[in-house]
Amino acid sequence: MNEIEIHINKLFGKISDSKRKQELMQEITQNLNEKVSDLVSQGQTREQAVKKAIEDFGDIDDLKDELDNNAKGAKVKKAGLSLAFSVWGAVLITGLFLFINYYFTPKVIWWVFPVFAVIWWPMSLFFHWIRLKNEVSIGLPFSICSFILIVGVLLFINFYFSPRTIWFVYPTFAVLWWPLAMLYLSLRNKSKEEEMTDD
Amino acid sequence: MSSISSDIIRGHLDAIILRLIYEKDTYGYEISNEIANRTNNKFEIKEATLYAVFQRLVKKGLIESYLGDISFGSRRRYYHITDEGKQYLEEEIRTWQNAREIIDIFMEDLK
Repeated sequence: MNEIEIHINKLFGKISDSKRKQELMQEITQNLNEKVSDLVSQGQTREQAVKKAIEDFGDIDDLKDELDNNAKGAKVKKAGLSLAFSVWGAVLITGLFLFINYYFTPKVIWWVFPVFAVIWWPMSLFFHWIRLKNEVSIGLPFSICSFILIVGVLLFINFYFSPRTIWFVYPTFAVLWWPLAMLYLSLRNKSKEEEMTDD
Repeated sequence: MSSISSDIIRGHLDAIILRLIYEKDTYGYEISNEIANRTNNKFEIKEATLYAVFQRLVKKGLIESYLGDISFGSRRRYYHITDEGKQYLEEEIRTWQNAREIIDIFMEDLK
């Protein structure tokens, strides 16, 4: 390894590894070696030439942003694919349970329970995808959606199986702490960010 | 060179580099040399910036890269302009010429 390679390795150390990064490091090393050799043939010593090539190279941040952007694009695409798969999976499974329920035991509605369980699959992948795509925190919206889902099932159980006693309020109260805690957290983070920008 | 004028240049780096690749398939070091030569060293591009521009142009589909002959330890990576790249460059040139006409009206030397 020559000085150029050592320097390039050091510069790229903070960039996450990828095929594109390896190609780029090779390309840059090749180009800088050529530059050094040109400078030497113009009469500079090798040390001077290496020093100049490294100085001229400049700050790596632009390049890091471009590579990170590429990596992010690939991640979002992958998350989007698993989301699409989970949506189709959930639709198929739901259809299957609906069919079994109404075909074999039409007098009792129980499909709600397996569907309730299955729905978490696409839902969590959806929020994962949104988080990657928009670089936002999803704690609050996820907790709200989950809350609505859970309360929906509670309402169903309550009014379908024991319509004379209203008890769903109690577990609802317990579940309510989840979105409330998330709301508190996001408000606190927001005010912290505002303080930081004020400084 | 003042920092303001280099800001203006930076805004058109994509077009400048695209222009050189349009003229002939070329590689990083040759481009930075060519820029320094044509501007009599008044503008020198930092290599880090140059390679960031390559990444961006490839992603936008304006240029493509391929590996050429071996020199200095490994194969050179050459860049070639695509049809979209040519279209984009034409538009950039037209936009610049229009803007220059307008700006020139107000930017004559003060008397």
